[in-house]
Amino acid sequence: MIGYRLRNRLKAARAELGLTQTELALRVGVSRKTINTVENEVFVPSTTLALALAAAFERPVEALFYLSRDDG
Amino acid sequence: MQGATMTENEILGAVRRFEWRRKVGLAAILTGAVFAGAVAVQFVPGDPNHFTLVEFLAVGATAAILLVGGLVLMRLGRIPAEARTPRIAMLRAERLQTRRRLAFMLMPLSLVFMLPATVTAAAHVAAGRPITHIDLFTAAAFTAFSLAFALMIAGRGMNNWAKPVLDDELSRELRSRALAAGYAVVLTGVAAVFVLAFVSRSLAVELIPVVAALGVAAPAIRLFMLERAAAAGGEEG
Repeated sequence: MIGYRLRNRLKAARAELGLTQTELALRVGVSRKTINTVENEVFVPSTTLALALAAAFERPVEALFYLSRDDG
Repeated sequence: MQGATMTENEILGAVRRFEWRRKVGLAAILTGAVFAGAVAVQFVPGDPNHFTLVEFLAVGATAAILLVGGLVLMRLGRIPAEARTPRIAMLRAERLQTRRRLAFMLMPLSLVFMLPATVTAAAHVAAGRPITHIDLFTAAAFTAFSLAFALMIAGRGMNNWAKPVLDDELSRELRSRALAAGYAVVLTGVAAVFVLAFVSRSLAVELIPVVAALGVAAPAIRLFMLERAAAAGGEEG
């Protein structure tokens, strides 16, 4: 979608639970690098991965991911 | 040391020894396959220069020893049961990924070494001269190497335990970007070969292995760069 960017609160949510990237990666079944790139917003996850991440935190997906206007 | 008392470092040490044996075994098998290939091309008619009987037997015996020794090393030992936990599997897969990244970087170098002989073999064909055993061996080795690497870049032949790391969503995305880069290089190269064929047929034929090498090397280098960028800024643990 033009003009929007997918942002996330993954790092903060992970810190709240005291999880490392590796622990979260093991919960979701992906690599640590994937968690790292999603957190840094370098990689946009698929709907499946976004839902799997939300399930790992037992939160709705909107609590982790949101859209922001991309002014750049 | 076996059992529940093994620490993570001890498990990783045991895994490292197991993997080292497999690696040496695989190297022996691959070297043996090269020797076996040198023997096999002797049976192809056309080239009057053959191995002498002594050379034939010596190379054949070396091939057999390397292949059998390699197979034995690959089959020796077992991985500890504790190494099958998801965390250890992830640590192993991450180490494997580092080695794969190094292979992707060294691979274009190997192709550069193989390229002059392959171009010479192609030039023999373009000039209408009979194919020698060396030409055949070189072309087969170059093709096998390129195909093996292309399959590796495409993510084929991975162990199940390594898939969560080496074949997850991000890895597939990076691989598809790298393969797209290779596809663009090959398309451009093929177009260049066709244009060049109007000027010089032999030069165009000589250029084909170069295009093939670039087509394999480009995604390898691209994948190396993408994976390095993705790994930047990560946390340990």
